[in-house]
Amino acid sequence: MSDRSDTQQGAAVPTTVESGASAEPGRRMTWLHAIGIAVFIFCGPALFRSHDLVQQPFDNKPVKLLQRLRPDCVLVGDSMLGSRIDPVTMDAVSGMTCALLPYPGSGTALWFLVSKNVVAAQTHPPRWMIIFFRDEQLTIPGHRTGERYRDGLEMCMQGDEPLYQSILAFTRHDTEAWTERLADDFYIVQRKRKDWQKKVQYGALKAVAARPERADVRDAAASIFKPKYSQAEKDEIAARDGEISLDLESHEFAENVARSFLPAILEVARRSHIRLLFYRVKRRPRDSHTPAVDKPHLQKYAQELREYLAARGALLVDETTDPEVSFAYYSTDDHVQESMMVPYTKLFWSKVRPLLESAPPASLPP
Amino acid sequence: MNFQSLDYAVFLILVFSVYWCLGRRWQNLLLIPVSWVFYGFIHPWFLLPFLATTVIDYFVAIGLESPRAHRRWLVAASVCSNLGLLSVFKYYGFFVENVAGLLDALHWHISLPVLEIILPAGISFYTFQSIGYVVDVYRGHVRACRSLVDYAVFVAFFPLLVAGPIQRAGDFLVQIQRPRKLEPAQFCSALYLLVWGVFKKVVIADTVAITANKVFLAKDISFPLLWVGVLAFCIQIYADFSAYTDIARGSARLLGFELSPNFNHPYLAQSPSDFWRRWHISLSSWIRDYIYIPLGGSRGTPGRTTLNLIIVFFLTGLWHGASWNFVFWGLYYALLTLLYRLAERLLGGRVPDRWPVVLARVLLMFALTNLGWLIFRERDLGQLGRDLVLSPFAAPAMDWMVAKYLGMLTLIYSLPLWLHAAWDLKLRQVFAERERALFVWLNPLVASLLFTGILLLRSDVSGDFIYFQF
Repeated sequence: MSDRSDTQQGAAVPTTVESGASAEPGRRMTWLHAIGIAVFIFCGPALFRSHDLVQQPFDNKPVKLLQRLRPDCVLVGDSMLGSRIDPVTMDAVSGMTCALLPYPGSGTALWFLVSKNVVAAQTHPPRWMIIFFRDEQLTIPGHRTGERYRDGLEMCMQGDEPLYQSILAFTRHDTEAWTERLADDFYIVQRKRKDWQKKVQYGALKAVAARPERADVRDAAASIFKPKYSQAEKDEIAARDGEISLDLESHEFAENVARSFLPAILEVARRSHIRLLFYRVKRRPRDSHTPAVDKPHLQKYAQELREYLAARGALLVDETTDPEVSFAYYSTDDHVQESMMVPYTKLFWSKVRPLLESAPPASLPP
Repeated sequence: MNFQSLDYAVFLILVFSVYWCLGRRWQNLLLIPVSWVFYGFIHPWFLLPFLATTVIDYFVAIGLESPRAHRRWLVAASVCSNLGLLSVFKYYGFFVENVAGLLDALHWHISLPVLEIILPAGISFYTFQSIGYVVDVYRGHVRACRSLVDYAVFVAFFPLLVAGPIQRAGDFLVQIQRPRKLEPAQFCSALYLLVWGVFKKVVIADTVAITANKVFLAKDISFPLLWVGVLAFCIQIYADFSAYTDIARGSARLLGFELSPNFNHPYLAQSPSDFWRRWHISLSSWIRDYIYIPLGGSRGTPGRTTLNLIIVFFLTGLWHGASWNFVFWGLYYALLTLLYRLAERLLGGRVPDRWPVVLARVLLMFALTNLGWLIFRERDLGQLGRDLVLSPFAAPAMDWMVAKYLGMLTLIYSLPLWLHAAWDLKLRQVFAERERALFVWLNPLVASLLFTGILLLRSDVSGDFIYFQF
């Protein structure tokens, strides 16, 4: 391990500091010792197996919020929900108590955990749960489950979550190299990597800046060194984080639904007598003139999804080709502009209300 | 295949498992396809120049032992073929660009053929290793290898194929030709080297690289931010290259080979010549033995010695890459070496050898090394000029604070390097009496901590080793 002793040693010089020093214990060292040392080095860190040591504690705030509000309707989704629905307007137009649970950067894995551990865990569950999604998102279980999202997912977990883990295991089998899966499962401790990196960064900050200055220094450093990854690096990070295209042509609904979180979400809702409505949001149109056209494979996907949900007592609203959701609503991406949230919320309710009013009550438990 | 990847770990375990089930001849036979797979993993056609070098130098060396051979012509043929490959793949673009620039300046507008070729990884390393072998055979230092298999292993051995260390036939070829065995202590020390190497790469080098890369990408950066970036690069390049060497040496040791070392705490050097005795030792000793000494070394007149130094450092710089900044970096070291020699002559041993003086020398050399890394890293010469005239007084206060923060972060991540140096240079002597007992538990403990560090502190993005590009 030593540069210096290695320098003295060299390949062709057998009498060396290092070989001399290690020769003595080498005489005593047997293969049993050597294997013991190898096991100690590589298996030691794997002993930190307890999820309690590495898993973020469950975040109780959404549970308490729902306990306090006792809403009739809960809306769940990622930033598509957060940027679209104005909570005050929603309450006003619907005449019901509605609770919004937007989790920016989330996917179906998190929505399943939220529906199970937050919404269905209420003593008085809501009558309706509306889930906002895009394209084929509902049958892509690995979407947003990578390292970057791990903390957020863990904060919605209650214990080991075997069903969640088993569904994700299928995806990981398809998308991750077996060596990575093995290392990830064996060394659970590495899930704390982000925390440790932050600790080191904060340690450096504490050493050079007084408390009032720290935030400014950190912000200045962040603005100067804002990460600008190359495309290859972006792809690598995105793949690792489960950020994948949500409208893959090759993605078939029928092939993927059984291995997705969708059946699990439906089951959770059924057991808690919650009616489910899935709301497929329209992606930002190219411009204000071109009418929105759904891609053929997405049309097929939506049709199959509608049939699947209908057979299980759930509803689907698809605004993809709706001309009323015009270009003017959008910011620079699929999000709705803040100033357009109120009109969008009204538009949303006008589409959803007839369905909610005409829907039969949720089935009673057997 | 990157040394720090899980793919490589699996590859090494598989090779190790099969390798030790075989006898020497079969071991060597196994190493050839395995090394080619490892190398071809990067780009299959990289194998072509590499195979050419192997075959040509194998037959040239045998020819050199023939009594009727035109020995000088054979050596020249080998050197020309190796340098020819190097010139085509590494320097042709640089040559064309500069000649075209010169002709343009003279208002001769001639279009020269441009070759769009990727530089085969490790070409500078294996061509030098192969030239060294031919010259050693010519000088009678080693016998020509009669087995093409053994020679192919000498050139192709996968741990050192891409970024050295450049091996000598007298050391390494002999090991290939002898039976090998693996002792438990050797196995453990190989594991320590591997863990330490991976730690240096993914925790230290890849993390401080974030700061270095940002600084060198940015335009109009202030004085403190520039120099904190240079410091980060200084740590990055040492951690990165020495990590590669450690992983190479650890991998080779697992297979029963001892590769020559490449580093000896270079940032503790007290002078430029001392630095080159500690930095990339396999290259600097190669250049010393095959270029500097044949040119006459320091034995001639002062003028001749100066010329020799300039030639040697010019070639050292050029070896690193086909770009003027590398040439200037080499010449910068030539200038430093000459200035230090002059200072030594003037002071004539009147400076006491006490620790404050040693410390001052080390710090001065460290500062000069950093200046060298700025030249090395900044390929845009215009930007380099602007960097060198930056004023510390023009920088906003917040930039100083950010620089302090990033500097501290760099120092924290590089702390294991300094602790390692302290252990090697001082603490090892203090604990010499107890070292045997210490070895029993300290090495495994440190290795386990380093491995835990790899799991907890490694960077999000791990790039290629810097020296792959050379």
